This record gives sequence, C-alpha cells and structure tokens, in this order.
Amino acid sequence: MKQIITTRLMHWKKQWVSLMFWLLFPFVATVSVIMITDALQDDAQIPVGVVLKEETDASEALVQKIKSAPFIRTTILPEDKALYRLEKHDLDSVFTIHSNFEQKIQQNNRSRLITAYQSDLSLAYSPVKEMIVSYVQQETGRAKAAFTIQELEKRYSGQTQSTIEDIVAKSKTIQKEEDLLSTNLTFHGDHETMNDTQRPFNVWGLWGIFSLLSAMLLFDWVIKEKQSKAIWRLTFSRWSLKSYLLLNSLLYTLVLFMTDMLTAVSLYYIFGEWLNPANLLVYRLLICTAAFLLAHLFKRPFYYNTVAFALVLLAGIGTGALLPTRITADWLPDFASPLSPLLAGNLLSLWPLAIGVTFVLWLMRKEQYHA
Amino acid sequence: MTFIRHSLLFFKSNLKTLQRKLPVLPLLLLFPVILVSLMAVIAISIIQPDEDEPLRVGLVDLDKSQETEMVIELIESSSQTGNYIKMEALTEEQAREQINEQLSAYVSFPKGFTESLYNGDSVTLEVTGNAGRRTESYLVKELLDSLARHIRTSQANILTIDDYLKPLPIADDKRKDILVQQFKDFLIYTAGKDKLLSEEQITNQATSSPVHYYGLAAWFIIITIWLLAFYSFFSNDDGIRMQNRMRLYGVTVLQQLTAKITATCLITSVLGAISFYLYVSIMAIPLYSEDYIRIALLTLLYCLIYLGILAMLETIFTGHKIRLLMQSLLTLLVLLASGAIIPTLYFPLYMQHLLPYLFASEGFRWLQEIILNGRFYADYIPMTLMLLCTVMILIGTSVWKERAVK
Repeated sequence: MKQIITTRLMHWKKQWVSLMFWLLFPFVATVSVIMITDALQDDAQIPVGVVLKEETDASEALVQKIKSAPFIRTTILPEDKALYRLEKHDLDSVFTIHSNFEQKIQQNNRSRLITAYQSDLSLAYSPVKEMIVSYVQQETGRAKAAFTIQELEKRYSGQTQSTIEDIVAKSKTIQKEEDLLSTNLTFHGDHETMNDTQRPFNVWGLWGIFSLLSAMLLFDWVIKEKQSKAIWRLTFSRWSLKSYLLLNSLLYTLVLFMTDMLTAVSLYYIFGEWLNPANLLVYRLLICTAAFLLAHLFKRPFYYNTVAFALVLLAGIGTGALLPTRITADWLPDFASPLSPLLAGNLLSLWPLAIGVTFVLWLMRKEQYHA
Repeated sequence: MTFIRHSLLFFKSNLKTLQRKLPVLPLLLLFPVILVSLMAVIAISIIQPDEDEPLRVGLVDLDKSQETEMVIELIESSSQTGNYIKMEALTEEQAREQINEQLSAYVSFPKGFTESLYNGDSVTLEVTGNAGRRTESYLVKELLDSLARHIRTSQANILTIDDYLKPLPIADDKRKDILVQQFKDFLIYTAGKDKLLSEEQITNQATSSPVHYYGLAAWFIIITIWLLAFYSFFSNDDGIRMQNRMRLYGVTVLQQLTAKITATCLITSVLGAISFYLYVSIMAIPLYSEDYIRIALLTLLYCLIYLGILAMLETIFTGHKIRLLMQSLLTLLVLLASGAIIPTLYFPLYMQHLLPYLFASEGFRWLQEIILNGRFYADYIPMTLMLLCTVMILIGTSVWKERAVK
C-alpha cells in the first residue's frame, strides 16, 4: 500500500493544480450558483402596467402600494399603449383602475373596481393579481368596517359619533401595531423551521450533480494509466493491474470523501443545510465506482470527458437538480433517480444496484495482463 | 492562398472523421432533442397539474370553536370546485397518519386560535409539509400566506369594531354576538374578494401563442447544443508533438480552427434548416421567402459568433477538461441571456440594459420579431460588428498562442 501511495503522490505532484481545481469545483460551483441566483432572484422584477382612469388619493395610494412591492416594476401609461405593449409581451399584465374608484370604495361598493388583463404568455400574473386584490381588499374592508360601526352606533346610541376617516385610521394603526397572524412551515419528521424563502435550487441536489462531474473528470487517470507504457512494468511488481487500479481508486475515493466532509461542514455553515454523512459516503462510493467503470469503456481521455459532460447534463436535467426548484416536479420515480441515494438515503434503488452488479462483473472478469 | 488551401484540407479531413464515425451521429443529433424534451416534460407537468390527482391538503381544527369550524367549512367547500388543490377537514391523528402518503401538507389551527384573534394576540398557523413533496408544501404555504393576509385585515377591522363598540351601551353577551356575526360577515366578504376585479385575457395575433414561442426557443436551444456537440466532436486533442509537426508544415492554429468552424457551421446549417422547416410547418407559421433569407442570415451570424467564442476559449484554455467546462459554461450563459429559457422581460433591469450588446439576445430577439411578430425588417449591423470583433480577438488569441505557448 505504501508503494501505491508514493507512486500516486508522485503523479499528484505533477497534477496538483488540476486535482485541486476539481476537488474544490463542486463546492465552489454550488456556492456560486446559489449566491448568484439568490441575488438575481431578489432583483428580478415583473413588469406590470397600471392604467389610471382617475387620479384621486385612493388610486394614488394604491399605485404607491403596488410600486413598493419589491418584485414588481410598475409603469403608468395610457390604456391603448398598455394593451399594445401587453400584446407584444413587453408587459406581464396590465391593471386598469376605473373611474369612481375612490367614490365606490367610500360607498362600500367593491364590484369591478379594477380590470386585469393578462396575455397567454403571462407567467407571473396570478401572484401579482393576488397582491393587488389583497391591497384593494384592505381598503374596501376598512370602509366596510367603518360603515358597520356607524350603523351600530346609530342603532345603539341614536347618532353617529365617529367619522369614516377616524375609523379607517384606527384600523390601520391596529394592523400596523400588532403583528397578529403568521404562518409557519415545518416538514413532518424534522423539527427545524424552514426559512421563509425557498432557495431557487436544492443545495445538495446541485452539489450532487457537480460532484458527479468532478468525480468523472478526475477518474480519467484510469484511461491515461492503462494506456501508458509504464503500466507494463506492473508485471515486475507484486501488484496485478486490477489491484493497482482498485487500490488507486480507493485512494482517490478517500481523498474525495475527505473533501466531501469539509464541503458538508462549509455548506452547513453557509446555507444551514445538513446531510447525513452516511448518505454522503454511499453517494461518493457510488459515483466513484460509476466513473471507474465508465472509464474502462474508453481508450482516449478526451472522448471520455466529453461523454462525462453530456451524461452529467442529462442527469442534471433529468433529476431536476439543475432546474429551479419552483418548476421541478417529482416526476422521476425515486428509485430511478441517481440522486436518491444522496438526498433520500435510498440504497435499494436502480442505480446502486446496477452499478453494484456491473462492478461485481468487472471484478470477476479475467485478468488480461498476466505475468 | 495557403490559408484557404490548408483550411480546406482540414475541413475535408473533419468531414471524413464524421464519415468514419457515422454511428455516433444519431447520438449527437438526438442529444439536444432529448434534453429539450426532458425539460419540456418537466415544465409541462408543473404548468398543467394532474386534474385527476389533485394536491391534497388537510385542515386540522385544534381549537374547535364556532369560528374555526366556519373557516374550515368555507375553505373546504370553496376548494371543491374545479381546483387542483383539494382541502379537507381531518382530525389530528388522521393528518399525522396520512402526511407520509397522500397529503401534501396539513394546516393546523392551534388551540385558542379564535380567542387570540379577538384579543389581538399573535397566533401562528402551523403548516406541516410532506418531506417527500417539498415543492407542493411550499405552494400550500404560499396559498396560506395570502389567506393569512386577508384574515389579518379582517381581524384588524373586527378589533376596530370591538374598540368602537366598547363605549356604547351594549351588554357583553350581545357584543360578543355582534362580533361573531361580524366575523362571519368578513369571512364571506373575503371569500368574495375576486368580485372587485374583472379579468380579461388578451391574445396576440394567431402566431404568438406560448407554443410558438417555446417552439422557437426549443429550436434555438437545439441548434446551439448541436453547434457545441459538433464542435467538440471535431476537436481531437492531438498531442503537442502533432501540433509541432503541423507547425513544421506551416499550418497555423487559426487554419485548423477556421476549418472546424466551417465544418460545424455547414452541418448545423443543414440540420438547422431541416428542423426549422419542421417547426414552421408543424406550427403553420406564415413566412415569406424574404423572411427565410433574413432568418438564415441571423442564424448564420449567431452561429459564427458563438463558434468564434468557442474557438477563442479553445485557444485560451489548453487542458481539455477545463476547456470543456468553459465551453459548457459559455453555452449556458448564451442560452440564458438569449431569453430562450426565461423570457428576457423578467430579467432585472440592469441586465436588460446589457442585452442589446449580447449577440445571443440580439439574435433571438430578431428571430422572434420576424417569426412571431411578423416584422419585415431585421437589423444586422450590431451582430455584424460583434462578429468582426470576435474574429479580431480570435485572430489575436490564436497568434498569441502560436508564439507564446510552445
């Protein structure tokens, strides 16, 4: 074993830049993708057109509210222009505030205050609509409360003592002062409270795909060393080719797993997402074996690497790890997803079994280079 | 002259490689198609949730007051009609049992919920999600957040009413009754919130449905990946010795790159034309013959710039792993910036200002204008300038490489 380690270290001495790069790659790539998409998600805005058919305090206040929503970019423009731009998909949706808006609210009449237009390509229409409806509803609800109070006062004390403005202001302060109702999401099984905002990507899914890529690319040593002339000299040592390859890949797997543990700790500190180390170990063994076996099919490292990129891309999109979580359905059954040993600790699924069987077959294959 | 002769020689040798490895061709061709269809399948399964298998959400009443019963009944009945979210009242034990199976999430109304609402104490609605269905759980949470926003307003209003009623000569019991009545009123009022808005859908001319848009986007993604695939296919990493021997024959890196770009472009043009013809005929998009020339020119400009940058990356990064990584990264950025994946309309504003300077978004924008919006004009000047820049830089890097890297 000592000899294997020394020879490996001699190799690594020459390749240390590339080795370090690919060891760190999964971690760096995961962190940067998540940070960049987080930042972009915060800045991404939905372009919404607002048509003002009356300019009163109430409509102005509504426009201000819509403008203050962080995820909306509001443009105020005349109706014909707004609809034209909506048709050209320059705007996601258009909201027209009708005339008599203020008057209708004050009269506690809330039917058809606003017309909403969407096109067939409006991706973000319903959250924007929900938000605007809730703002208007707030205003009309307050007006309704004021009416009720005045009515009750009339019934029980014979006269109305309070003005609508007072009541509305009172309701506003009550709502502002008391943070009354909140919601909280936990998952069955774990007791930690989830963050309020959902990450655009699943941290460990992303890491799983990137480390699959780096494992595959690092294992091109199998091809290089099988092709090299030096390998013929193994006959003069006490190692067979098979044991040489196996011990070396074990060494690689160990180094990779140590990096994984460091990565897991760092990811936990950065994103607060932990993963069972056993899953990590199983997944690491799995992808290293897969890379090792795949490498035996190729004679030139270049083709192997190109195929590795293609396969990883397929796996990334197939499992949905490279797609934003918002649009990812669990369409792939758990047993068929290559990431399920990592994410769900699912050992008895398709890929571990397939890789295990292939590995055993490879082990039983006859040694080609015998002394 | 020698330049052209050498380039032609390598061009022919590239085509020969392809001929020799013909069995790989279907794989190269199908790869992007499979990728795009995978993405489409995933996206469609989100956009059109299964009507037969609605998302099931449980409502658990721990408070058991008149008000919570009313709320739950109302939610239950309103979710019956046509929605893909189905809510149902469950006991706590039922919910606990089912959360690992059919339920996507359950919402529990805590003990003393109503009491706190009337007293103005803060309460929390607990959503317990199914760990196996995280995306759906977040969806339920979002839904509940919007519900909570409405309840908050109603609650503030009820508290205001209570406040104003206190000085009035009303018995405590009577006042409680009035408040319960008000609660009911506001609940129904909230349920009817969609009344205040009338909705209309605008459709563009016949040619601009999402299917057309995403069809064009898919075609764009597919040809981009074809370009990358064929370019990588023609890159055989000859060792340094081979390169040195080539140099002795007076062959430059630039000649080999030119040959590679031409070969890739030629093959992708043929494939692109066939697939574009399929797209246009399936979608029945009316185009005039001049339009085809415009589209061909735009696509050619886009392909050449993209391949030029790929070649540039090849000259800069010598190791083939890092080169493949950079080329994949470039492809990803190009596709994202073009708007073929997410329409550019939703980008942050500072990025939208950059878009006119990017070849990918320029190309895709003009393709959209011609094919989807029926315009009879395209501005080739920005992309031509970008192509010139790319060629200049490519010549620069290849000369640099020839001299500096031995």
